[in-house]
Amino acid sequence: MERKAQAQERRVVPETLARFIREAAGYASLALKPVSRLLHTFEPGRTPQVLQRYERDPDWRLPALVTKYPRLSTDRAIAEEHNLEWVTPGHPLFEAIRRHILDLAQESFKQGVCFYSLAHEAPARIDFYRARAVDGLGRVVHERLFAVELEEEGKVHLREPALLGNFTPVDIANALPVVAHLPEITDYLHEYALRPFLEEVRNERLAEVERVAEHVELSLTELLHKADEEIGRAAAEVEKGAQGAEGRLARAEARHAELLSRRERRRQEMAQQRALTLQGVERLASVLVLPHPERETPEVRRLRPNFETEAIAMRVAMEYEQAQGRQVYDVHEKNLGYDLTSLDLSSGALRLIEVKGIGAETGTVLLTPNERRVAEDRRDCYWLYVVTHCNTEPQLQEPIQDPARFEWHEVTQVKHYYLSVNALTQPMEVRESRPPYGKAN
Amino acid sequence: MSVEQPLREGQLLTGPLFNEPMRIETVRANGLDTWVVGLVGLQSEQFRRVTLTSADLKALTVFDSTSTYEGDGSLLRLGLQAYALGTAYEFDPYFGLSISRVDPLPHQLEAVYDYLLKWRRSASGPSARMPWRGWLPSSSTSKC
Repeated sequence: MERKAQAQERRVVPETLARFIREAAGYASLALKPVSRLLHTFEPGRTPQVLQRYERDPDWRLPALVTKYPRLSTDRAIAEEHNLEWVTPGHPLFEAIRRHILDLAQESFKQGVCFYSLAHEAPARIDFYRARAVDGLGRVVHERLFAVELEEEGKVHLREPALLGNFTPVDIANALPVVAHLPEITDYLHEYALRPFLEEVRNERLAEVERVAEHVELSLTELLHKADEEIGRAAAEVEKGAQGAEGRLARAEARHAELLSRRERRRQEMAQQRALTLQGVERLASVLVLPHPERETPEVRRLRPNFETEAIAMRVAMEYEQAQGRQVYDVHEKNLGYDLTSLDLSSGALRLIEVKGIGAETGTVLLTPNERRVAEDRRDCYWLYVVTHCNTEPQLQEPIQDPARFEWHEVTQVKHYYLSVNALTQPMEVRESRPPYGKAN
Repeated sequence: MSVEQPLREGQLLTGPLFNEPMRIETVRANGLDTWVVGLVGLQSEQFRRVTLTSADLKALTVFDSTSTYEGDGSLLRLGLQAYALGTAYEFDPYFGLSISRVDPLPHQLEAVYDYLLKWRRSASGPSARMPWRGWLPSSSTSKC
């Protein structure tokens, strides 16, 4: 059950893939016209040369790209139902776009980038690292991206790489803050990210290799046993002087020797597959995060969450979920775009819950760009829990499933999104119209 | 690149001498205007020990590894997503679910992810297959 929930939580959905190729197509000069009546579906133009060159990469093992693809969708069900090209990771067009974006981004990876953040009160630096777990045969068993945030006073945090979704890109400030010049925190990276990563992969790998090793031993030992018997029969025939027996004996002995050597070779391979090392640890990119200059304006201050209120709301929401018999985990520090995962152990239903606290009975709830993106992508399981009256007697309002269906208002100067709620009415009124404050569009 | 400025570890070299950007891993002076440089290709990740003279250096562009933070934020974000999608597809055992709306039963998950898929993936690179074919076990992995 938990494995299923984990798989559901981590799912990379067609919505995410469609957004990626839509944003990336512009960089690749690929015309991609959305088809209005079909979700995640596009009418592509001719495949540009800049993408076709990737099929000549030495490690390209997919079919060649075609000059023009038919109508395509990132959603398998829609593609099958309407007989469309299903474009997803592993499809030549998707892979070429992905490689092209990676190539283009190299320059920005090298230079680094500056962002504004509403959540930061002081400058910070986030370093992105790549690490690989490689076995003794030289095969990359796993590869992962890590993000390490370093604050000016030296505090370090491990972050989710998707964190950048909450920030607004800006041109560099005149003078770089001190944190830009601090050395890399490689000891922290090894202690809290790379070593656990290697251990995790090793444990998983050992279980797999042991399973195969057992099978190899069983089957090759059985084959050796049969080869032994064949040698015995052939030797007996040689003693009897049977015609051609010496040839059969020689073949049986050769077969036995070949099996022995094969078992030895497979044992050695198994040992090499068990042996894992960290390789290719490299800082891919570094970004500076500066406090958003608008964060102290009255409009934005009003919208910013109060940490005490949020903590009360989290407690109330978790207690509610536990009372419903659901298994709930607090994941708010990971910046995944939701605060809680909640699993109904009887039905297997998973909820990704964003919790918002309001001190009084009315107010606004603010979604970060990351939260809004996940709300839009995971409409099947995303919930918004609003706890009002956090300053007095906290009350959890009726949980809202699929909050992306509401029209959230963009706070343009900080690129966040708000919704007005009023718990004076029961059930709680969710107001989508523009409130009399804030510079929202 | 002047002779007075020696190469440093962590710098990147590009130019006609190399078929890919190279990162300097080691530098050793070898006479007045010659350096023995240990380089790693950024794409191939192959190590090469190369002897470079001051004349060679004139043909190369040297990028310092120090970040200027002047890059394109949107492109960096998209690039990291491109990277993450690539590694998820290649290494995340749960990624198979991404290409299907079907919720498999627990025993099916165990069968596919604990037995079949990982061995298929360890046998060949991700790009060796179409996504839906990744569910098939590889004959090469079941050999004895």
